[in-house]
Amino acid sequence: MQNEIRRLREQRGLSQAALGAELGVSRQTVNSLETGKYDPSLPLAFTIARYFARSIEEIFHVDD
Amino acid sequence: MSTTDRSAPARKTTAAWFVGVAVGLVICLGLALAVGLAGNRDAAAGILTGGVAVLVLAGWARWRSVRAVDRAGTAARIAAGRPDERDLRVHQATLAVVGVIAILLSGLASAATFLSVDATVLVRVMPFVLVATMLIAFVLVDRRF
Repeated sequence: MQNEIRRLREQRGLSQAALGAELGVSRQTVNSLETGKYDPSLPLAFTIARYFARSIEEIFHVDD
Repeated sequence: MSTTDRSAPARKTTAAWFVGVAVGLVICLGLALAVGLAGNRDAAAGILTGGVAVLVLAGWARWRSVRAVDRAGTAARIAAGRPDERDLRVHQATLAVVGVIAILLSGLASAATFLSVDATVLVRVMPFVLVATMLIAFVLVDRRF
């Protein structure tokens, strides 16, 4: 699954560690999310969407 | 997620970690005592050394995950009882691999006893093989996620 997390994080000028602290996850988890290696749980996806004030569909895209 | 949302689960995992370490220490001491009383003092010393080493590593991991959050790795957070959801998924996938290998190995070991292989050796080797399996599986799964 592709996502816009890196772009949104960089727009806000946040480091991966800082975003991780905001979301309650580790820096490695943010990195894995950004590189598409790890798909978040639904609660974490909602937390990310809420944090960036976007819908889940605007942030996460299914690979086609 | 606010700090208030996280405090209750954090307290619960901290308590669970200390209970886990205490249980581990009791099991380690009890096992070493029983094996020692049975006349196997070297084995008892090995159990005690290995058990205490694991508990010390868990304590170090906890210290590191609290004091140096950014530098703590997946293993340190799991050992410290402070995993996030990705860490838990890595942990579960690793244990799943260990479980499958354990079933296969126990079947092979059982069959080997019918080929005149010493069952005592098989039983004593099994934990080391499974720990090695766990370490390898952990590294591979952690890289994959």
